[in-house]
Amino acid sequence: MMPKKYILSFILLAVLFGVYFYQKNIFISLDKFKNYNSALTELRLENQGLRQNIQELTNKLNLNSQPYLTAQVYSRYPFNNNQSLIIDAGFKAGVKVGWPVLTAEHYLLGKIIKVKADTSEVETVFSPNWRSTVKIGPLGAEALLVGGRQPRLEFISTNAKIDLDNDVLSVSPDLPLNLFVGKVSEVISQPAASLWQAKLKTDYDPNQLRKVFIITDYEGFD
Amino acid sequence: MKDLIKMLIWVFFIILAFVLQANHFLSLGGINPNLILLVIFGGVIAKKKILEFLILISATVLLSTVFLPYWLKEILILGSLGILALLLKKLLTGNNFFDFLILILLGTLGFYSIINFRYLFANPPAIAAELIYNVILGLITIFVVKNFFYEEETGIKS
Repeated sequence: MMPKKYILSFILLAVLFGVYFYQKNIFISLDKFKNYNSALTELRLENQGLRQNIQELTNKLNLNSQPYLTAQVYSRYPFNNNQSLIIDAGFKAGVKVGWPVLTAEHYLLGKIIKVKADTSEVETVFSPNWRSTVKIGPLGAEALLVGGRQPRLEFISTNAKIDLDNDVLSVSPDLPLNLFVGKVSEVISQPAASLWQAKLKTDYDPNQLRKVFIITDYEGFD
Repeated sequence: MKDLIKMLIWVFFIILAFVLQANHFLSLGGINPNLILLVIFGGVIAKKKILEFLILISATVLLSTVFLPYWLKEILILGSLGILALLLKKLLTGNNFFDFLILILLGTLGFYSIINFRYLFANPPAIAAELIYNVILGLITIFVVKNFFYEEETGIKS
């Protein structure tokens, strides 16, 4: 009879492989489907960017076309307390600290916080240290965007009129005006509270990002 | 020669932890386990001589400059926690199994307390999930060590 330790080893290996394959989505998606899904995500992001572009053109906002630099995501922060990214463009490519980083055109992801020769670190809206001012919805209610695994919108006036799925746009002076950040997913309004909170949702998974866009030649106020 | 082989085995585990950690290979539901912490605290339990443990920490820091160059600060904090754990090991229960699990729990909380204190309160469910995940992987590590390595070499009692 097979020794117990080999049976346990087999189970252990099976569990480890199971976790690995689950994480890689191999059980539910073959490579072909994965590529299709990835292409679909890219198209969706591009579509969002275009829609945002149309909206901004319609509203006559931020019409200046900004030059972009494309970069691949090289590495992600390895622990759970942060969601910063390393991208494969550094000072050799002219990248500077403070430049905004987008997932699609006009779709804010974060900004450059550290630059090396061939790589840069991007602090994203999912990083816990992220703080920036935003406006919500068509009436432009002001709020503070607080980064995290689920970014939050804080210090919203109780008089503000906000609804689910309202657009959230950046109005932070260190970033280009009216970059799209995401949509309101939940409004937390307690009767006794003097200020409201809301949760932000984005249509992309930061863990799945492969390519980002850096707005170049941008000088914002810090 | 025997010591060299043991050290090479540890180096292999460190590199494996770096590769899996950096690529989020074992990430479940967005929660990435702290494999580097597991290796360092595994060293706290297994290494009886301070010098051996310091060599292990030095190797970890050195290898992180190759595999995780951007996150050197985090590795140094984990290394420091490992050294602290080694110094305070005598205050623990003396049972390697429980000591390892206690160290994983304290180490995970200690790491986030130092690296980003705000994160501890910002997302308690994520912290709890990572603690559970780290402990489960710690139990698996104990199982592997107990079954595949000699007790007298590892110091882990059967």
